[in-house]
Amino acid sequence: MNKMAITGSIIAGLLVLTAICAPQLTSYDYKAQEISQRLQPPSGSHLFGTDELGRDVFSRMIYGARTSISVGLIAVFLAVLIGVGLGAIAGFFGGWIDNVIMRFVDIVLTIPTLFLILMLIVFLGPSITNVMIIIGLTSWTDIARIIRAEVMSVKKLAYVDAARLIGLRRRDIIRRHILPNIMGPVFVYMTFGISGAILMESGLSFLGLGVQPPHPSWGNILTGGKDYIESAWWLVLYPGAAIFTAVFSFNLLGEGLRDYFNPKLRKE
Amino acid sequence: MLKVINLKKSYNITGLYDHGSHTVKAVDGVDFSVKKGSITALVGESGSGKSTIARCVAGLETPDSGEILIDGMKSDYSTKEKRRRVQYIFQDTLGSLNPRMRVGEALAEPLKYHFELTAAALRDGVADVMLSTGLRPELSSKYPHELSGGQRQRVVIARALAMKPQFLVADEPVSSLDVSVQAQILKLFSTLNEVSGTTMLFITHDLRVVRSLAQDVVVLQSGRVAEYGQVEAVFASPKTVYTRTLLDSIPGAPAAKKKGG
Amino acid sequence: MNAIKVKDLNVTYRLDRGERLYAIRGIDLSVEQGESVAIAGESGCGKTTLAHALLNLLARNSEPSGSVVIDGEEVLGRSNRELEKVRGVKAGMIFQDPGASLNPLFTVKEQVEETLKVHLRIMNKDELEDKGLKLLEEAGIADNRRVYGSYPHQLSGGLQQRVMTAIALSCGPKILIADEPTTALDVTVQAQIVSMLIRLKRERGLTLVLITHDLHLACMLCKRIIVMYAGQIVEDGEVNSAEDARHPYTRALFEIIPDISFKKEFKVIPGSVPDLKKVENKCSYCDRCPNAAQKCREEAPGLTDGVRCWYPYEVKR
Repeated sequence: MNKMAITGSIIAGLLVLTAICAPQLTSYDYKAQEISQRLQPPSGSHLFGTDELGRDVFSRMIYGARTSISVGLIAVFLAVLIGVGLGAIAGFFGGWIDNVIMRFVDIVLTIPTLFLILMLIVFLGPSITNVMIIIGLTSWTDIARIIRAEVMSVKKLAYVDAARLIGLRRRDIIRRHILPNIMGPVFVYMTFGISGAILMESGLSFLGLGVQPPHPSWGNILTGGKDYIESAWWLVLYPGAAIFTAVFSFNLLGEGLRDYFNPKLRKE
Repeated sequence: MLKVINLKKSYNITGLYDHGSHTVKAVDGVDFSVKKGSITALVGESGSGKSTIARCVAGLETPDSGEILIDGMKSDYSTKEKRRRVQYIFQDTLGSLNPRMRVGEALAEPLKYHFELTAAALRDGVADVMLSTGLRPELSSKYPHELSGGQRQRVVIARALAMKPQFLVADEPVSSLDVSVQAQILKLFSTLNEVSGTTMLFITHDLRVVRSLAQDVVVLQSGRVAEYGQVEAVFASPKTVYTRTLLDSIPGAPAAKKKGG
Repeated sequence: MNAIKVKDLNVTYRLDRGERLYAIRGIDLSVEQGESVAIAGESGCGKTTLAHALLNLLARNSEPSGSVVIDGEEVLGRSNRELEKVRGVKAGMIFQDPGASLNPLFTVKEQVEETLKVHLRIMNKDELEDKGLKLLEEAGIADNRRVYGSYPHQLSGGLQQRVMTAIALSCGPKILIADEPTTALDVTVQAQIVSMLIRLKRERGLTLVLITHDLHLACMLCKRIIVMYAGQIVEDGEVNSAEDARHPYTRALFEIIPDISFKKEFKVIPGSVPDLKKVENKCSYCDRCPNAAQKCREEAPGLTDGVRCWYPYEVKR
């Protein structure tokens, strides 16, 4: 493992840990409003200050981490499931199957993502679950293409021929010799995908189309804070910084993994 | 042992930009045979079709027409037992080993698949093939990229030998190796042939290797047999201009000894 | 003046985890104007590192020290800008894989003319084309007009190597460094490239440095053979066959090449090249040497009289 991957995974790990341990990290209820305490700057009792309804921003931030990170993870999981499945089928079988799947990918790619998302939200209504599904359904095309290309190139390699010489059955060749060798790009894509999904969620929530208040996410905390940007800087700084850190750490992890899985770089 | 009769194989080349596609006759009617327990060399330049013949014999490709007879029977790779008999050794040693499998696992795979072995017998089997190919036992926990080219080629050979093949096709097994390693691997092949009597089809472009290893030689030129016979006879009095040119081109050959100063 | 003068050259590579690889250890070498020298040895003996050091083409993690003077110009410690008047101008270089050294996106014409424009400042279109076509002809390309308009992938390996040679010689360097120029080619093509090099050497009076692992090939092109082992020169002299060789390693290198004229037992050098990460005070070849004695394991021999061995073979010269 290289330094980039390690740094990225430590920061990302801390964020995930924060999200998991949210109830242990704060004594405030993220929903509890205390109008008398509204718009308090950061202090000993409210670490990150309070918002316009007097809610503790620190609590909302760490519960928001739960939302944002789980949206990232689940959306990417969905995208990987669809993308790896379709990409692998296209790559393995080639021919007309490949043609049908890849033309379908092309069609999905021609639809502007934002437009598709807005359409889907109109039909499905804004909610955390829908945001996850929508992001998942719109971001699998890249991974399908990557996997198809990987499978096609690995399929041609001599060690797959060598496995045929042993007489292994096709499913053993796929399971033992092809799949393990294409998992690298999948992991790399996943980490980039997570940061992409976190950004997407923030954007949607910022527009009011994502996670709905009072449920906190980094995106909608940012939206709530934008009206008070001149008087209460902490309402935008912390969610902004959190989104930045999460995206940065997952990207770092992705870059590191990309180098790690590249055997040519590893040999040095 | 092996008989190749009127073998033909062509490939369709589809242009990326120009829409026309054309057919390349890689192998165009080739006949030869390999005697049991002997080594026959297949020589020719790149594009002469020697690798295609090797891949057809090993069952990695299906010929368009012609026959490949092994022990008088039409070649068939459909069952485990029949597949095991003919093995193939690659030129690209790094590419022919799964980068995520340790040497020990790579060698155990064919053993496990073909012979029902207990865990202990499997360990012994791996140790045996490693010993017979000159691999130190501690290498079994290494990954292919941690090995030198020569060690990798030994692993590839060991993996083929693990299946106890009767016939070995070696496709330029030494051409990507360093001179001193080449000599070591060639010696291994020669020992295999002498000690275990493994019949081999040895593909190479180096006539010096042919001389020192093989009994018979097939000279290929653009998918056809230019000359075929005993190594001694062919080298002493080549019948075609092409063979003559090949012989004269060898560094160190009498005709090639001209000095620049 | 010497065409090439190398003094006390050391090249060390920095590896991961603070390890160091001592690829070149104290090389002194001078090559006369018009002389042909072959540098031979197994991979991992430092011959390619030496070739790269001659034009300061070393990898970033390398630390060279000492001095390399090409035609009166020091190359070590010089910036790429300063080296522009050495690389290609004083000394050209060709590589093992001509396909990878040519840019696949440009025609031969564009690549040949680019060097002419950059180095010789020829701008006139007709003049460029005349000069380019002449260079190809000189490199033995008969249908130079067709080749001139082609892309690299449309050419055979032999033609690609000829084009590379034409480019390497385009600015009229007096020195040509050829790093395994025929290894990737077919035998007949190999022979053609060798005769091209012999002809160019004669016509242009080139100083040729040939890097190769094939001693027979080395003997065809060069009188003087320098054999490298473990980053050092172990033999430097006129060697034509195993019998001429004084160092046991040189002798072994000749003997392991299968001979075409008669069938013989396989000769093998046991073991492999030593790990250059640590340097011990002993002969680096002693673990593989048939003649190794106590002294060889206790003290490293120096290069005396063109051979680095405590017990060299006696040879009549």
